[in-house]
Amino acid sequence: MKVFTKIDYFKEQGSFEGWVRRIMVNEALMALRKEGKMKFQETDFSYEVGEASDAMMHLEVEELNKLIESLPTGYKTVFNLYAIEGYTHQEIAEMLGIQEGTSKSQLSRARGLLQQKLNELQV
Amino acid sequence: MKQASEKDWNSIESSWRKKMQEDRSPVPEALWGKLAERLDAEEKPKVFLFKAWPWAAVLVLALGIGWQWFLPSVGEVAQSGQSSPKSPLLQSSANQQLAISKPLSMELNEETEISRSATRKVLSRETDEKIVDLGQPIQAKEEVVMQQNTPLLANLSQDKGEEKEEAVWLKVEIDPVVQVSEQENEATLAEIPRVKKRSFGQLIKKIKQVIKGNPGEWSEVKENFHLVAHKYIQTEETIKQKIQYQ
Repeated sequence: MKVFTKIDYFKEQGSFEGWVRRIMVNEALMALRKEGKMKFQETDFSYEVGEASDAMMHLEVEELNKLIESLPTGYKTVFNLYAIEGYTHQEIAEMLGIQEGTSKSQLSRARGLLQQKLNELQV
Repeated sequence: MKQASEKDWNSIESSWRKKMQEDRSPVPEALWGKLAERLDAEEKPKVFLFKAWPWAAVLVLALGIGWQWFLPSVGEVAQSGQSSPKSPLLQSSANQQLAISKPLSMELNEETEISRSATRKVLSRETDEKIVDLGQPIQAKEEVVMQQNTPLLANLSQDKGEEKEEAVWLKVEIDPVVQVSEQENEATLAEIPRVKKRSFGQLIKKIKQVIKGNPGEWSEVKENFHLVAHKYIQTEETIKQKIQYQ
């Protein structure tokens, strides 16, 4: 909807896809804020994550989506923004209004949880 | 160890990113219908507002016209306030200030024009006031100051130390009495006999009444006779004065 209503604001400086993607991310974050699900523990501590296995490389998109969807909202948000959308920790911190360290710790926790879930699935 | 796992994760995430970007999931057809419905719903209020604008404009116009129609006194007051002339003293002082604020080493033409306009305005104000007060013609003298800086400007590049200024005083005699057009003059002259005729006619009427046998008004006839004679003399004097002015 936003894409259609705000199409006049699109200046052909960047790609249309990037513009649409940014709108979608912003809308998703706004929806999360409205629902009150954007709660992060302000910690600067990063968890140690085990080595990524080869099985992770061969995951299908559907499986990957299911795995990410199973994560808690905080982890999922940071993981999506960093790993899938390609934002930096600084950008994520600005977007979510958190510290950069918090973003890093949330990412490492998300990775650990993903690895754990994948191991469970393989077993 | 930690760096190695970080690198692994980065490479895995980049591969996931590629997969996600390459993935094209089909859009359900119902989605487009829903989008169209919501867009139509959002556009409807805009259409209403767009149609309401002309009516709002008409209403504002009607209110404005009504305001001026029912309250003409307000407009008259405003007009009289606007039409009241600015005090000549202020105007002249403003012009004088402008003339003073300009440096003397500016261009010759600009300087002379400003000083001329300033003196002319002051003098015209003075002469107007005198005509109103005394009712007699006064010859005004306009003094124009011309400061010639041309030699200075010409020799500026050669020698800045030898600066010479010449002042030329021009006296221009101007008759401040405004020329009255012929039509206006005829109108003023035609009014005088009318007054005379009125008083003269009254006198004749009174004389006729006395002749008819009404002696009580004889004193009034005498008074009227004196009045007529006095007015006749006055009008003669005014006419003579007018002719002299012209």
